[in-house]
Amino acid sequence: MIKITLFHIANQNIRRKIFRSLAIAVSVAVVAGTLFSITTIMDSVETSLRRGTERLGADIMVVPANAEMKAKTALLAGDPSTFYMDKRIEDKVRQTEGVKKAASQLFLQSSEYECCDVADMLLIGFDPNNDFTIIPWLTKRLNRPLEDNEAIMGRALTAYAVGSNVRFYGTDIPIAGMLEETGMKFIDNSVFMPFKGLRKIAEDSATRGKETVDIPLDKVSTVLVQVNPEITAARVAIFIEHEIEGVKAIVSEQVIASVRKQLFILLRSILSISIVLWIMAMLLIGVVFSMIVNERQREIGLLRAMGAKKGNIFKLVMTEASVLSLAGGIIGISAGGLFLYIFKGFIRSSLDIPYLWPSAAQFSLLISFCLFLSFITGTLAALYPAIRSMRMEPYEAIRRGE
Amino acid sequence: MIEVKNISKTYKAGSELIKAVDGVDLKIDQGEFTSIVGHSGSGKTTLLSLIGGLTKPDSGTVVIDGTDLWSISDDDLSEFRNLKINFIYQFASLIPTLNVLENVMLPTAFSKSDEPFEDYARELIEMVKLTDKVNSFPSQLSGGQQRRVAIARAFINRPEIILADEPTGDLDEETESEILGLFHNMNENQKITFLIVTHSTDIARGCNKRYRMSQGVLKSE
Amino acid sequence: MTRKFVIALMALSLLAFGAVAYAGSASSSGAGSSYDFSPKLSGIAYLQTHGGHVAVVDLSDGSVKRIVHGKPSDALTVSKDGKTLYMFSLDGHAKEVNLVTGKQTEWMKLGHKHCGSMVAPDGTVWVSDMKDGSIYIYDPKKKKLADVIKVSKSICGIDFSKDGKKAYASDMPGGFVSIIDVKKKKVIGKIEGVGNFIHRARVSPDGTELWQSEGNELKAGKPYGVGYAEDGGTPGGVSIVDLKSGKVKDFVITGGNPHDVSFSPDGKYALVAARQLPTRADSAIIVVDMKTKRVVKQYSACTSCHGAIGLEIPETKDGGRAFLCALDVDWNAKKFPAGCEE
Repeated sequence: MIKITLFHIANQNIRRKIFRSLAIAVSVAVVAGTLFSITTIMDSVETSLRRGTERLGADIMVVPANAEMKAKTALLAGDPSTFYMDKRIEDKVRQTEGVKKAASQLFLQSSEYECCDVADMLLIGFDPNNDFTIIPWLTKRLNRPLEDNEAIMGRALTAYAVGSNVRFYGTDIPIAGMLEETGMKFIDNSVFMPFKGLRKIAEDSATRGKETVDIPLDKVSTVLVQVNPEITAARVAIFIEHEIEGVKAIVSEQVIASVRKQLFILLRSILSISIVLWIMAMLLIGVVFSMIVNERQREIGLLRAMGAKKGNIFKLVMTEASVLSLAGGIIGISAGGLFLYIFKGFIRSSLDIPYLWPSAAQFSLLISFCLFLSFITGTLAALYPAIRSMRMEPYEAIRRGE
Repeated sequence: MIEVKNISKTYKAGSELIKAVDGVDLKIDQGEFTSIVGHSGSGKTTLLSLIGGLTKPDSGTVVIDGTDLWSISDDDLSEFRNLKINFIYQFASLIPTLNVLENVMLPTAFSKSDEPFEDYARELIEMVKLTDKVNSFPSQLSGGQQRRVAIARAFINRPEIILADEPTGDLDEETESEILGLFHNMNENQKITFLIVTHSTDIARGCNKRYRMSQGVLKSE
Repeated sequence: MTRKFVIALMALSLLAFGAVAYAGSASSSGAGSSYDFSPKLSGIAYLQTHGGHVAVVDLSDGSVKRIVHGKPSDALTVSKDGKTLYMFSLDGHAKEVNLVTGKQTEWMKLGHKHCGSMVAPDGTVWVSDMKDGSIYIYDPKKKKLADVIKVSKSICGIDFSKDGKKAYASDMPGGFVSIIDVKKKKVIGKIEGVGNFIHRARVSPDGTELWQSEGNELKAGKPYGVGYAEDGGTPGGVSIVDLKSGKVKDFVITGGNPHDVSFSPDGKYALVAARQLPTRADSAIIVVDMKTKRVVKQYSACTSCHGAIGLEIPETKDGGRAFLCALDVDWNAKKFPAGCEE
């Protein structure tokens, strides 16, 4: 049984001028698509940076003074790099004012690829007794102490599962746990082992491996620091550099903040272009709807004569605008999503920073936000024409439309 | 019953004021078939719009079945029109995006009634002999066919009053007599009150009451 | 007898008069025929400038030399032993000049935009940053940054109380002075209403007053400045704060857009660094008698080089004007240090 509704009339109106309707929908789509892509990237970067800092677990990363750039690159881009300083620095750091916890790590590039050995990944030695950056972040809690000959894998090393073995310099190492994904290659692509285990590998490599490993066990690559809550990390970093010769104390929040600042300047300029686009789209839609209302004056008058209330006429125009805006929003978001999907690799590599896609919940929130914005775009733009159409006196509307 | 008392309406055309309706009094009882004859520009259409509540008079009152049209709210007036009055215009008044059936059913979109109007709409379309055009769009119809759709639409809400403005203006003689026959039929069977504005004296001749309008003034014939 | 006594008395009077007249003529002989009541000061004054050099003034004769360091700077402090000059640039770097050998260290990154500095009781140098409102503590022994204290929005002047327990940091646009607990490195109080756009604050030698240079730079730009005070307002001067009550107790008008104050160790004179004199294109050290609060002397800081020798000041953002900032004096120095240029 057919029933005529306002939505049906609006829908038929949209179809009547398909090109005009498409023009409106596409202009909303462009805005929605750009905004969706940009906000998604910005949100991803922000989340990744925040999670990266949280995940690093350390407020400060102490490295050799000459390795500052290398360390920052490792921290952000995750390129495996090795640098060393005296192991005694760990104790000095621990004694510095404001330091709550300090844990050293030793970075080792794994051997050149040979059959069955893992190559070109960062093997990181750590002390499980002082650790606060590795074990708390296991995907599955390890309800026992980590054995010296066991390893923990970064999330990106998907070829290995917990319980399987990984071979380093001829020694098979059982994998005791897997770390949560961080987006930082420095953590995701690394294997973590207790110092003692590393020493054993070095000793055994002479007999088992194809090359003897010279592990600098009297050295450390970095000392990760957690500061007392009542003092800022920036001050503790100053204290560390002041007290200890030859080190650089990198405040992770500052690194992240500077990256965030640089990146957001770029993204903000794109965002401001989208805002200009948005305003233009609003103006365009406003003009088009004014034209529509003028063109349909007689129809509006006729509908009023048939008994349509002012509110019905308002709803009719607004329904048309909402349907077009939402359709434009859906098209734009889909196109934006497709763009992000197709170019995900490019985006990830060109940003050169930790990058994690938003969670499903965050995605839904972003989609809802962009849809809402699209809806607002059309409805706001059509608001004045809709009010004008509603206020027309029926007889005047019919006469003027003749 | 329609009761028009001393109703006037002035328009501004440039700097000139035109008195389209000048102190008109009119009384039409339920079920009457009334015509108003006059030349173009005599104020007939404006009077019809005033009676139908489409435009507000400068002075005077329009009372239909005891309701003073301009004492009620705009929404109530719309509802009142939807329930009691329908219009037939001298121009093509169909919505181009809707097919014949949808055009006929259009007034029901604003009706509070839960009645399924589709069957009645098809009956009306049959009555105006357009059954084979039910799914056609206005652009696929001739001027006469479009007029017949508009007439069918005028009856869909089962109105008590039809206000027709030159309803057969551009129709051939045969169709005109068919349409008039339909009007008389509806008038007799359903007691619908008709007020037809025309410049055709032939149409006027078949009406119970006849008025002539000249320069905004209405006179009984 | 009586007659003899009168003659002797007259002869004695004549002798006494002659002695007094001789003494008077002897005391005025150094100044030629006119009398000079201005104080005789001795010491070497260092004035930081935006021109990448320090103006060095010998207070005994007013002669001027300069130490070129290469960066537009505001802040400068002489070490307690007078052997080192610490300077801090407007792009956040630190440099030391050995005043004995004339050797300079390389510029070292410290903060963002340094404005004022002062040697702390523990020997570190506290350096204010007008960009982030923090004090950067520079350790001259290790030539490293030792700590940072967040104070307010945009600070400039720094000095310490006589007992060394408190520090005072002036917030330029805020027109207030923050009081800092030196040991805890925390802001513990505030002295409000010190001026329009205040620069450096110095504690008087007796420890009771804080002399705060207030440029009162006019919005109309005369004398040349950034412009914070309404036209027709008070000319620049020094706002004197009673440290006991924490209230402004006096204002000494010096004119000339003052930017810093220094005191003679005996507490008799205050030396005010005036950035731009209203009377001529020059910066100057204006000497104020701390008791009478009157200007008693003036040393030209720039014209002897830029005017007399004909060194042109380039048309930079300072508008081709001499732009003098911090002032510090080594009162024990008798001659220009090593590394000075004509």
